[in-house]
Amino acid sequence: MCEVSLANVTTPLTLDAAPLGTPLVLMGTHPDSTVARRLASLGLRRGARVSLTQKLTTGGRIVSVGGGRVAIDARVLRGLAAEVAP
Amino acid sequence: MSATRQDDRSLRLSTALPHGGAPSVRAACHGPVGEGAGAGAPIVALAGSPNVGKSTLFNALTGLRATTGNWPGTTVDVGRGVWRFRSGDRVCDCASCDGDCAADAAREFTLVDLPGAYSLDPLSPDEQLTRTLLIDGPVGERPDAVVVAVDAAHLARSLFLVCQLRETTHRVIVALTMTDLARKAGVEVDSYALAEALGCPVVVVDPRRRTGLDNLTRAVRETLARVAPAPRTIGPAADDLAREDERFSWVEAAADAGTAESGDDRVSMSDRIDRYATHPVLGPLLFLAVMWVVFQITTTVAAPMQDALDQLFAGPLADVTRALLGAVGLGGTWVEGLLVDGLIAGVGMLLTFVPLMALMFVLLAVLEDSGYMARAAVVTDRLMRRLGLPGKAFLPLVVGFGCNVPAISATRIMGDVRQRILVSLLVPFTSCTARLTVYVMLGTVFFGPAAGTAVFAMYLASILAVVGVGLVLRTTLWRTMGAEPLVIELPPYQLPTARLTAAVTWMRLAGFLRTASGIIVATVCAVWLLQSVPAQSGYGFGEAPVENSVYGVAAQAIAPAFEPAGFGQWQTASALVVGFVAKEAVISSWAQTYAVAEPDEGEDPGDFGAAVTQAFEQSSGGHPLPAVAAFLWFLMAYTPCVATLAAQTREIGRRWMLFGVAIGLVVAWTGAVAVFQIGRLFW
Repeated sequence: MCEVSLANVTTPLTLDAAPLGTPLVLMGTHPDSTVARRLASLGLRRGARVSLTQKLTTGGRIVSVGGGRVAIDARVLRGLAAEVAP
Repeated sequence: MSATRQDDRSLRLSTALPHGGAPSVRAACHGPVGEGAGAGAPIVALAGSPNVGKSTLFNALTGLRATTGNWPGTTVDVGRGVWRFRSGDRVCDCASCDGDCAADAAREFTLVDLPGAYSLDPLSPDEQLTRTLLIDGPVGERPDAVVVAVDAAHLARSLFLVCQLRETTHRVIVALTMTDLARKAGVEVDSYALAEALGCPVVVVDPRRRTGLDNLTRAVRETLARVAPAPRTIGPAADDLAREDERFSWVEAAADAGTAESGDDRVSMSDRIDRYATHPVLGPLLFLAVMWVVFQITTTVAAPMQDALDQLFAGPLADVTRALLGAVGLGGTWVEGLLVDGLIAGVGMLLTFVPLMALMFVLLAVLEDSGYMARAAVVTDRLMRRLGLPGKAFLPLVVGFGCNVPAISATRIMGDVRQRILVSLLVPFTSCTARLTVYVMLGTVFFGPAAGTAVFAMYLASILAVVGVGLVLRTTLWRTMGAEPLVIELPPYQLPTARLTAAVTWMRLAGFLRTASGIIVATVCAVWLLQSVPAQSGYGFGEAPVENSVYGVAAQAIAPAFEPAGFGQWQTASALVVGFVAKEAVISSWAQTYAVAEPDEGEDPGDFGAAVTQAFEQSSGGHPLPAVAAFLWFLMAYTPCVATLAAQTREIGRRWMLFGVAIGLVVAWTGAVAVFQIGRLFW
């Protein structure tokens, strides 16, 4: 797992590899339907604008969405595809 | 023992059901908090996402004291109270309304506080309870109206529940909370535009400062007077995903209509604090430092107040009581024994800990209200994951450091049955404040100025026990249990209000005092009675030395079991037996035993600390410090109290409860023996 430069990124990346502070748009829902529902209830669903604000232990991140902050572990982040917001 | 066989039992909900049927707001009349209004009063349910200030609003409207805290999942039970119109409330459109103008309208409502739920599609038992009470029950059993608390700072997230409720026939009123935080985040909410978009009234309230409550009362009253609105019209959807997309689109449209400005991209003060509070390295260190400071402040600041109270009870109060009893001819009788050596010595000793408990409760309330506890759950996620538990399992465990009983109920925030059973078995190892009284007493006697550090060490030992037992259970009984992913909402930090801190502190302190005046007095009387009944012939009632009483003889039979741990004196063993009922009773019964026992030559009968020191010196063969450490370990690890056992029985069933008792005794005894036997090699 490593962060990538987004200077010329056009293909989707997963949230665990996205850098902090970059505005992103979620491209789909989490493959686990239960997790997907929990994320959706917190505003993390397809089309949501998000950004990562803080690294956590074991690769997790704090995700900023809809003015709120959600702490998410790396395993869940790997299931969330995103692209840089236009 | 199979975890799956417990599924139904562990999903049992504690809502009282007088008729024995399915849960409903009309049947749920006897929740953990309060009673409702009269039989004819409208029933209003209070719903909302976790951590939107719902319980604070409930407390503000009813004057009751439901548990509050700035973290998701504080409410897991149903609370119920009377929502009365206050004198001077403007609850209708009259020019000079005092609440009495509409004689035919309701003067009070029954308000039912439901567990937090993001939606009506439950993922945990507490969310299931909310759905059952709002949707699954018969129409006649549903509430007359539903007030949904909505966080203005996170509008779109909070409105999904409103959206689903608007698809039903419920009368819905939105209570818009946290507008002050929203404003700070650059979000301005237009309540009128939002009401129009949602198709239901929207009222701005600030339950922490108690503003806007009369407007909410008025809105509910007006809504109840109207026919229920038609449900939101929804088109056909191809599948559940399409249905959810349609709902989210509706929510977003409503949020956009009601929000003048969004502060999504701002770096907030909370973000800046979180750079340190949730940092992979600094975060855990900060957590330990915060906890250490809490225990240091608690022990050092409370000490002089404790001394003053101790002198009051042991000196003037006991002397005055003796003098009064002597004046009426009862001096030296069993009445004096019961009052002076029993109630004043026992209850008085316990009451000296009130300043300490109050300080601890204030500090914990400040931490909870500030929003830090949710960060603590994130920081400890890595540790919890080792046990196969999600980070949010930390929340019931934190509650356990206050009191184990609500902590057992709080395990309902977890979706997986096996995780709930595991956490319910681990909660008794979290060191509740009742145990703190014994730590402080022994810490002060044996460790002097280092008492604060000794107490802190006991909390670390408690965490060690949780982790150790968790790992053993995880690698034996639940090898296949997968960890639930970490997805936890982090509320913004906020300055704790004096009112809320005082209310939470008083609620907990009152609970402690209730225990003191109930269980403790009963235990003190029972102990006194057993100490007065002779076990050998030749003595009358109250005449036998304690070691020859029923109490003493029974304790002497148990005491040898503790000899390998260095505290095999019968007085010490008897305190632990009493502690099985409630840890608050340990100090009182102990003090009572030494007050009644014949003092050794040269010993001040009132000097409890000296008596305890001598007891540990004798029982440990000259190694009192390892013996005290072993005793403290035993006290920390064995069954906390009968109330916790009752809560465990309710949540996970009798067999798992008994299993937990056995684990506690095994861990307590083996750990205590190990601490003493190893410790005496060095001390």
